[in-house]
Amino acid sequence: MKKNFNNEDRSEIVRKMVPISEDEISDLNKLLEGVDNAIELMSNLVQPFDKDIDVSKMSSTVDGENYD
Amino acid sequence: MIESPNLLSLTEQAKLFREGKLSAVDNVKSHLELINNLNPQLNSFITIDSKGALDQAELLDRSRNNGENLGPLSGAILGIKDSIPTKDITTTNNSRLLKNWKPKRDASVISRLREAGAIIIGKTNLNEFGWSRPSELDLSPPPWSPWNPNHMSVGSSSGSGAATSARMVSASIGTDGGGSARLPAGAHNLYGIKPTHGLVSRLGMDHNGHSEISPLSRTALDLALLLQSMSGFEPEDDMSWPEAVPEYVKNIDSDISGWKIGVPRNFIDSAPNEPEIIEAFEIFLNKLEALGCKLEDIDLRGMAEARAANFIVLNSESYQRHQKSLKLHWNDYGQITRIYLLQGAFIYANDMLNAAEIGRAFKNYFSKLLTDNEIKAIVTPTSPFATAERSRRPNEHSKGVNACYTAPFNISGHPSVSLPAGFGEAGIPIGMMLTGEIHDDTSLLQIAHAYDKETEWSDIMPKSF
Repeated sequence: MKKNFNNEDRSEIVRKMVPISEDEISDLNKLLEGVDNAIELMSNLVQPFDKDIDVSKMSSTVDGENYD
Repeated sequence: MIESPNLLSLTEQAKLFREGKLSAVDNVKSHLELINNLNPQLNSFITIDSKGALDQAELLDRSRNNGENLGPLSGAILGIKDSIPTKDITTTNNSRLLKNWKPKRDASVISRLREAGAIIIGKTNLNEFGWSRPSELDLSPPPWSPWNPNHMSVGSSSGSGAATSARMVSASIGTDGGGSARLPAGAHNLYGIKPTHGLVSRLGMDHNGHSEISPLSRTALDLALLLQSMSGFEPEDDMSWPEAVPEYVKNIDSDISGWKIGVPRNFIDSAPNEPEIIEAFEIFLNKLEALGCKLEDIDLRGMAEARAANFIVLNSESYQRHQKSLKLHWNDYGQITRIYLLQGAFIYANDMLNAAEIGRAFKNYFSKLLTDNEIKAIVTPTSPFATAERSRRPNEHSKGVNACYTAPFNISGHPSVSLPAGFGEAGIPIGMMLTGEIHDDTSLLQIAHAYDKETEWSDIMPKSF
């Protein structure tokens, strides 16, 4: 799965930002699985410079998969 | 004297007021009595503005007695989601951060509602900043469902849904960034429309790209009346639609026989729908056919990617809005909310731009699908889940599965209406959703009205009251 940051990087970044507890960091990392999932779903559609998004390649299921 | 006017629809209340058969003051008192009885148990309201509502009512009664012109909502009692700024009425967003904030100006939609004669009786409960899971530790504890007070109300416009279905208000105004008005409409036996993007101006609110101010009501006609009053061009709002507002109320009666409705069965079958949702869906399809609509199976694509794109935009915008306050006032945020808000810190600008591009592609694709197939609307359940608790299971909630039907049409901007369609095992209502072409909110209201006239959902009240 494509991830913008690994969990260790995220933890380090967020500790510098706000007075967050370790339990909260754990909760945040779990939530960010949803963000990672969303970014991966979108990345399947991104095209090279000379092409537009091919709507025929868009998914047909709730999980972003295809029946065909 | 009308007994219990709060049991009548908004349209009926406004009509009786215009005819001089119901005073606005009596109508406010009737609603206040119920609020005082029910709100301690249901937590539908964060702020109740008894004095303000009675003052507005007295003015309206005087205007009517003097023969002055009355707006279409005159005498109707509204609850407003506590994320929408209301002049001189505390607007907390259910956050300790804003617990004492009294806006100096109304949001533009509130000004329009007041001009139309609506009486604002209070501010309704929500998940903190509309972007979290509710918690007993919130500034105001979560609202409970009037249909089964052992279950939480579905949000984020949860208090708006609960107050409207419990007859504490004539109708309410929520917001919908991924389903936050349609989902509670469905879970409270109500009609709720997320209007076409730009139709109702968000001037005076947070500048969320795809969150729409959305009415919730007990009848489809009430919904049309509210949308008519809320809509219109705001020159200061760069996202506001500059055209004349269609006549939703005047054109609400329409022969919908022969209208083609798309049924995306493959997509619906792939969702984790609970059995009572599917059962209600099939009954709903039968009802559409009985109304003369033609059902046509369609291959609907891109719903997952569009939901993902909307999710990325919501997360990015929420973090952008709160980035400074999170650092300065960390302990004033709810413990769940502040974690939800931090998600956007880990999204690249490139992801946000990808989301915008995918949103545009899905918008064009969906409009073409409707046009090429001469489809008036597609039909889906509003939610795959029948209770708030089930829709908030952590893994599915973090992926936005509860919004799998609703969120794609936030980023696309298409109008989408939730209609009442039965009850699940827990006694919580179930909603079905119709989504149509950009700026064809009229057809959705016409279908909803035809359905409302042929069904009895509008008359069913929560048994516990």
